[in-house]
Amino acid sequence: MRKTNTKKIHNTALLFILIAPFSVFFYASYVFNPIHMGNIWLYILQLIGDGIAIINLAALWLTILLDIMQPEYFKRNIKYNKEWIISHYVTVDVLIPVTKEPLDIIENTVSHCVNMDYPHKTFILDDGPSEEVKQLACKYAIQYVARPPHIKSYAKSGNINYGLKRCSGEFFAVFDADHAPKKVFLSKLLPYFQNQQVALVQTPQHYINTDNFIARGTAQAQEIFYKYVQPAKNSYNSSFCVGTNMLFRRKAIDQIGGIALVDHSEDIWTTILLHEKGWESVFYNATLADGRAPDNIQSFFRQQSRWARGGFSLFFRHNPLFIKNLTTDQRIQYFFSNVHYFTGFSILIYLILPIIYLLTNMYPMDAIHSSDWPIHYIPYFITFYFLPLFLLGKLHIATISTALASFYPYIKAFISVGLKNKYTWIATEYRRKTMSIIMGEIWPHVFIIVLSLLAIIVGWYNVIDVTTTTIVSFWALVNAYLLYAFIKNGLMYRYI
Amino acid sequence: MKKLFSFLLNISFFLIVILLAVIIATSSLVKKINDSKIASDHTIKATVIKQTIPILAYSQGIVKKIHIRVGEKVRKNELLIEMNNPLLVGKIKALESHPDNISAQTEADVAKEEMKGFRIYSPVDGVVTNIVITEGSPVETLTKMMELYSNDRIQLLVYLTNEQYVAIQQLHELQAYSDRLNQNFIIEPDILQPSETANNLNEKQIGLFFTFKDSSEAESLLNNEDLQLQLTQSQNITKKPIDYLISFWISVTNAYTKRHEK
Repeated sequence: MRKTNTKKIHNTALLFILIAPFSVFFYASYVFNPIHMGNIWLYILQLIGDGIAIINLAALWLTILLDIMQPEYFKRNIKYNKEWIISHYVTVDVLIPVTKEPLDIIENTVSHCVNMDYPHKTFILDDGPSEEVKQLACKYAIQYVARPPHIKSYAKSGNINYGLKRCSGEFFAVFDADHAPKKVFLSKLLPYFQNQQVALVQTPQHYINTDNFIARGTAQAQEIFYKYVQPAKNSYNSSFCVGTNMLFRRKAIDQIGGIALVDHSEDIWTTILLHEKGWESVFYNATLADGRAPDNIQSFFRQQSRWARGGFSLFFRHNPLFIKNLTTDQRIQYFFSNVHYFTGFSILIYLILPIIYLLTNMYPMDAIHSSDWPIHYIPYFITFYFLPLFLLGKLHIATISTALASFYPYIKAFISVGLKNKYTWIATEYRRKTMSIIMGEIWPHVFIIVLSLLAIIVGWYNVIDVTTTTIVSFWALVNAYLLYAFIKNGLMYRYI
Repeated sequence: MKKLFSFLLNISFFLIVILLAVIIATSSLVKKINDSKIASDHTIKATVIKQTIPILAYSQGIVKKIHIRVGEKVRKNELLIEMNNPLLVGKIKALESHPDNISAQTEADVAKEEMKGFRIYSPVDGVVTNIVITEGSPVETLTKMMELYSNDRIQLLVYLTNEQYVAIQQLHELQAYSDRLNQNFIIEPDILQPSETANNLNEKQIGLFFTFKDSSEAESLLNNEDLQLQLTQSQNITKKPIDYLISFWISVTNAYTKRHEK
């Protein structure tokens, strides 16, 4: 027997987790009381922004805290016996779906896959397709599978399903082209399948290129998910597949008719289908593969937008709260994962409210000449910003900056899911050959930066309330700086 | 070629975004300026508030003589009312007829002391507004006999919008004009009206009290009289750097609108 939740949470973090609901209620009791309403439209915006933020904090809180509070005997018992793979020989396939990624990245992954210590067959599933990748497959003596153009439907899931027809192992692992597994990947994870109900073992996505600003931000934002949220979800048997670095039981996947055929976020759909059939999933909380995080604005937005689309389409088309065969825990946990992407609206609202105040002197809360607002807001603010700080140990500016900038892909994804736009799957790291208009992706950010700076100038003309204007100008300046840091670092990498 | 094209496209996109931001910022700045202009163009109603001081009877008795009339000015320590109590006078006489009885003497002293309170003096400089007694009427202890308006702290209460409030803070000298007296009074901002006690119609307005620089001048004003607060800028105000920028923008927008009108 082995616990996967080995990470100890610091006492300070625990204290903040315990304080969080009180400070949130204290703040909400002020904000959601219409007596304190300023301008009605801005007040509605504030309610939407705070509502979404509070729901997300509550989701994080419930997931992590309930997991911590559970007594040991009550926790999910996950069987793990190292000897099992010695006594049982199993056949394993390793699939590497590839779509026009740079060749050196693919080669790195292939060489690591080939080097894994447990006997396995490696398949490269080229959706490009390209001659160079074929030669690479020859070089490493692995199977090369390319989908014929006429059955090229459903991006990654279609590719994997086509590859599954060519292989027959009892288990199969999937690695994206930019995730290189460690040697012990298979031998560490296979013993979990001694339990015949386990269909999926997932390991975290770990990013190694953290010298880059955006990659560092993405990596740390992921850290809280893989260090705290996934292990907690694991104890509810609702940890889900994240698209790479995982091991599947072939029988289970065959039972649900292959990887779920959707254009994006096939990973979470597949997990839901598995859970519906009563299969179990396991999250193994240790780094067994080194990946690469997006290192420029465009690939970062592509990745975020893909995830957000998955979240939104699940929320609107197949809301996990109403899936019959899932347990209550699983429903709630899936729902929490979806609502995260609504934070895009919160962020946008928080970005524009200071600007509106400075330009027009309109404010959402009637807080002028009054100390009520700071008294209620400061504890809430401290919880909201220090909880991640204590959970992670330290918080990079890059993390806040990239999180702030991601409002645009989230909202874009929301709109396109709402309009039912067709989506073409593009890998995070695809070869940059086509011409791209970078301003098309960052115009909201540039606009907010410029308008924030101008608004500060306008705000200080004929100041009515000096204290409020000072605080609001400070926020506008901080927001502008964080967005500027995102754009500056995201662009620099591209043009060097 | 492709690179140059995408570069140009990016730059033009960038400039459009910046232009949009500048337009929004400028228009809101112009709106702000216009608001403050409108605020300073209007004359604002200012209400004179004088403190009302009631004169109470010190002890039981009959009003003997009233020395002033309604509307008359009084100085501090001026005699207002004389009172009398025949019973008390009789009592003192009776007690004084026993000079060897110490307790009777003491009681007579107390009664004499009470008699001093029968001469009532004005506590402040002011104007008599109301007299509720006549000569000869009997008065109980602590009943109100008359009211004075004090000339000590005459205040002006003005309800201002945010823009007007800002405009006032920038002025060096404020003047209030009385139509009735055809006279200007120099005033100074005092304190804000506490929002709990404000009974103004519009919640967005700020109640601000003013005091008169020369209070002897203000004596001729009546309570609740309306004055006009003038917000015209006096000439000798130093310009801040931003003011030059603003005047530049105003001239630009004015030129633009004039060209459109043509």
